[in-house]
Amino acid sequence: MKKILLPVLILALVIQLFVPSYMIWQRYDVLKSGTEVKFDIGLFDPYDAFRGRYVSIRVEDAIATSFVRGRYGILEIDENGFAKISRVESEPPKEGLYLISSEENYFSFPHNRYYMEETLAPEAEKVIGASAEAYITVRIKNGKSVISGMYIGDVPIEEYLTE
Amino acid sequence: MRKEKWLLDEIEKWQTEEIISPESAEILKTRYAPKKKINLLIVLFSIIGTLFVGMGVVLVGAHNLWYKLPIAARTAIGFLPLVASQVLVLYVYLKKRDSIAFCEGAAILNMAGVFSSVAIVGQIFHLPSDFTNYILLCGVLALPSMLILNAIAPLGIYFWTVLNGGLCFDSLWETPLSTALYVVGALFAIYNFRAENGRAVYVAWISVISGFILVWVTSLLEDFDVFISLFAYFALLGSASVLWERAGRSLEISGTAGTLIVMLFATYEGWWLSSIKSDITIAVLTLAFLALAIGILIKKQRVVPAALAAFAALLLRAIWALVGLNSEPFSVVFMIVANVILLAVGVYYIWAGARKVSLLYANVGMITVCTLIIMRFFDSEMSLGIRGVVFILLGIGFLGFNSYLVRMRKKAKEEK
Repeated sequence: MKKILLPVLILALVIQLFVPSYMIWQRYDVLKSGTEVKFDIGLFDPYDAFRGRYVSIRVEDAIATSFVRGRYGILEIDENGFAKISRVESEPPKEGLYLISSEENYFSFPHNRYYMEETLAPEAEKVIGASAEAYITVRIKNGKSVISGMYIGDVPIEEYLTE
Repeated sequence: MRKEKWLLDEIEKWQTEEIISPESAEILKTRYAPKKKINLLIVLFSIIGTLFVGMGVVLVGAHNLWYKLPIAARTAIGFLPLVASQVLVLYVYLKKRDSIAFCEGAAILNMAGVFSSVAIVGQIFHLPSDFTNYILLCGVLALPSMLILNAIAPLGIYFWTVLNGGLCFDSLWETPLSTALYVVGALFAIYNFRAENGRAVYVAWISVISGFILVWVTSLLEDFDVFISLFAYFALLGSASVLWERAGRSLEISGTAGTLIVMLFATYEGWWLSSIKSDITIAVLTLAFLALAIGILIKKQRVVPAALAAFAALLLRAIWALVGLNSEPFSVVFMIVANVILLAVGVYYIWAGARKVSLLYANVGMITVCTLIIMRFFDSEMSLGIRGVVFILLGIGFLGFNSYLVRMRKKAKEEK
């Protein structure tokens, strides 16, 4: 029994490392090779004891906030790179950009948090409340998406707040 | 310790002087070998200390001071607490496996390392809120080191991760993973029911409380009569108390307290007018609990008052639910029977306390009877006149029984 325990323990510790590594690899791949689009946002500032302070994102898009049935949000991109969800489908499209919903039965925008340094998050809320030019950039690959940044005008929000 | 050492030296001498045989000496040495004493304070401080460090690591991770660094650097920082705790776990497993303080501390730090690292991944990639799955994942990942190091301190956190995942947003029976994970934790707790130095008591209470939450919330979610499930659970606790010496006391106390507290609710008429709820899954599980409880008592040939009280309450509620008597005047009948059962249980505990000279039993009985009296005195649902008559009759009954006891004692003295 004791002989088995050490390999089991080592396996468990390897799995402990593998799970967050796999989570990272999945997102890193999208960040590296996905297509970048922009979404207009509104936000407010809440708190998570484990992951820290964040600004809660609400995408200014009629379909993304109206619980339409279907899992796949088909994207339409304008000339400035801003995306809108044009319709929601039950099956993934064969071509074009789309987002996979965070819910099974209806479309829900898959991102609702942008984590920031503790002191910057409340400031971000104030600034974006007064600015209409806030948006997030999202990298998308095969429907999977990762937030790559948050901007005011063309300046990353972290830079905007620290300047 | 000194006495034991002296005795062992003496046994050596007896053996050398051939007063006893080497076999007898070996038996005596084993019997009187000094027990390894564990400094509880050191263990507790190591648990509290590592708990603080672990929580500090999680909070520092949440601070997000490194947001300006590239993703690779942030990822490396995220993995640091996990890797450090893994090194400690391996070191403790290989070198300090006999030290409870090290095992508990390493398991707590490893759990904190898992929580922190998975949280930092979420922070780096701005993952959406999914708190339930996040903590469930962390609980599962930290489970093996807790089991292998036989560390009980993180058990409470583990139960929280599993129960929160299964119960807060969904029914546990619809999430078999949570159920299975809960069972793993419960079996680990039972494995430690014979442990020493308060470990058994700690795991007993932690598993009893989490089991209570499990039974209660699952019954609510499955729309089953919560009280039937709870009485079956308390009956099981009462019966199972005969199986273990140290943990058994905690199981008996919790089973008794649970039964009596829930029974106090049953002494109100409104309780018997509520709508009847039933679900076949929970009904089967309740019967399984009950069968297990009765099976233990039959096998051990012991009578546990806590289990008997729970059986009586369960039987009453089950008859009410099965026959569907949730209307007047049946509700009044059930209410009266519930009051009589509770009064009988209280009086039994006082009697048993006096017989066994057990202050705990006597106090449990006194508290039960006094609470029942106070509740009925202020009960606005019953007529003042009826309550007055019942109180007078009960008082006469108690005083009559008391004078009977005094006469019997006098008679016994005279006969001597």
